Amino acid sequence: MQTDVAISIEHLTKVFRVPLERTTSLKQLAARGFRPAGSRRLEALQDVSIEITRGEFFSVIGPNGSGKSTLLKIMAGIYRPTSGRVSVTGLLSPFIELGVGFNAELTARENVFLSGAILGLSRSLVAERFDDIVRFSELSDFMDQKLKNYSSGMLVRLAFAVAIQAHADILLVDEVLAVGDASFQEKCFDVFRRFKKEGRTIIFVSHDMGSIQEFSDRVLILNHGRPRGIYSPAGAAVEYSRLNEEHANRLLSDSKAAPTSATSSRPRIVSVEMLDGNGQTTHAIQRGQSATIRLKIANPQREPVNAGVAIYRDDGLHCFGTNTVISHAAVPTDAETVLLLDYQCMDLQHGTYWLTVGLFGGRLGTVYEMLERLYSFHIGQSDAYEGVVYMHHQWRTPDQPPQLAH
Amino acid sequence: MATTTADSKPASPSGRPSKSYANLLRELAITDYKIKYQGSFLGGYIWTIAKPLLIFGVLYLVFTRFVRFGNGVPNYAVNLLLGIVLWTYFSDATVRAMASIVERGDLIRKVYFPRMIIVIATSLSSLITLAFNLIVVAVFVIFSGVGLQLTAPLFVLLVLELYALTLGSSFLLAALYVKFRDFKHIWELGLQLLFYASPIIYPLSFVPSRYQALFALNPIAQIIQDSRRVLISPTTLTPLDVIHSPLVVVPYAIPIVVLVVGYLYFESAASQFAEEI
Repeated sequence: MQTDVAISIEHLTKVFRVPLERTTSLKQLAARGFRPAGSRRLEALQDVSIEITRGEFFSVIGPNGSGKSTLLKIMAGIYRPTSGRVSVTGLLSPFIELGVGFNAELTARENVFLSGAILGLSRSLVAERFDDIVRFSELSDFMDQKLKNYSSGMLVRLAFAVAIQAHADILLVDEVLAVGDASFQEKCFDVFRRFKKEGRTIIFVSHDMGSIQEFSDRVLILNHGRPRGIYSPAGAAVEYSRLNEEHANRLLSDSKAAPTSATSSRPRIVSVEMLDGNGQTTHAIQRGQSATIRLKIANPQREPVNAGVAIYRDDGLHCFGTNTVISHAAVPTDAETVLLLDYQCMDLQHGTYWLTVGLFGGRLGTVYEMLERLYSFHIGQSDAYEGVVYMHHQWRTPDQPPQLAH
Repeated sequence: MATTTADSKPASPSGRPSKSYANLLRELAITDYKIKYQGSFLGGYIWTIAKPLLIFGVLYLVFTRFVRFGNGVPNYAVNLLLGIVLWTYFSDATVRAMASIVERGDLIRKVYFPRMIIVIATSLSSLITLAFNLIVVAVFVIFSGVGLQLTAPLFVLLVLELYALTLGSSFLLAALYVKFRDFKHIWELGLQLLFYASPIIYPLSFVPSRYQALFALNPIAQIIQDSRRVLISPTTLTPLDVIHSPLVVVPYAIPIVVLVVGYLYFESAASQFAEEI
């Protein structure tokens, strides 16, 4: 047995049987004559083989529904593989998601002990480290409050503070940093750096390419349950945007392959891309920089059209939307048109975002095309400002003159 | 090294000492107990004791003042209270344990640990309630002039038997409830029938003598009657008095059979809980 392998996965396949109708009553079962209900096979993972070395920071990235979380749950022993084999060497922390087992009716203090027990820590060990946990979470004034009065940000802080106490060689981390402000995220990253230095193995699942690139040794890209490959962090970034482009192209070609002649002559979107300040196609923008969206539209009948572009954050938050009607912009009625949409400052905070692009008739009445999650891009930031957007601001005392233009 | 394949049980996070599961069991049981009376005005301890006492009060009034059949039974009040306390434990614990796996779905879908810990924790938290109630029974036994019997220590064995029956039923019901939510109603109905089929509000001696043996096959009846015998009155009828055949082992064997069958069924179903909830 090789001792430097923490997790070895061989030909792992996981198939969920999704019942066509859910049987939860005996009446339904009797009505079918006690035969099992028909079910649909959902292949969550197909033939995944990986070997994760001890001390490695191994990341798994993939679009929603690609099987990332299923893979993690199989490693944790929550799901059983349909076929294949998973071997784990070392103590594994079940820290799949933060705040699991938290009880809203109990105080934060009680929840720390409960959560510690779920992570496998003894009561005396939690008691010993209680002050560290409180200090890390920065919630010392709120320890005797019930968790139902906590904000989601506070919950994450408390959960993370407990979770990092886990006494494990291998940590499974799922989407931890999705919540929490930038300064807390930085603190979490510090912990990851420390874990890495201590030689612990971390398996990190996310769809945030930014944090994956910063820490990972290797990155597995999953797509529809199939491994696309294992890459270096830089290689993964390139491959992942290629995957997203393929996805966009498929959306575009699906819409082009519209079967009837009535729709073939309709206005449609030919391509969408984001350009940086130098006019180069990009998927990564630093906050505050300018960016341009380039839309190519085919309009064989030269009908009046309205184009719209919306920016969604990865979790579905609609950040900004505009279209040519509300912006009073004229769209030329040529057979083929290129439209450019300039954003002066991309003042969105760190994260992954998606463009949704639509093409409408005249005044939004007719929808010619609506392509959701067509193009993804990443925003980076180098400061610790918090929230959804960057607000231009200035702190001052009354005797200092305001410097912001009104 | 822990290996998981399609046939094996899920690998527990390898190397995790079983001591940590004992700790988890304790934390879950305490949490369960705290949550049960969360937000109550009088606090958990009061309600723990008040519930069986209220049921007792109503039944006592009905059967000694209105129906008047309790009047002729020696120590009717203490016998009634003891029966209600033991019954309340069995019915509360099984009802709560039945839903426990489904209610903890969030935990089950996200963390691996032996699933039976959840069911055991629920049954233990109900055991805390039973302990408080038994203190009330003890006070009644002492102050109602019954006095403490020499056989009283044997009661510990009967509580163990009741716990085995309760835990076994809880395993079965919790696993079945994941698949079929009907069991909530089926079990409510079953408990109603079992309540009247067991000598709780009436003594076994009120049952026509040719049916007494049949009634005594029920382990609930046996536990209640044996408890009354060792704690209250040596003249209480027990299965040993009414079943005159080797069948007398049946009520004592049922709890063990239920525990073994319940445990095996639960364990065979447990690896699928995360996907089924």
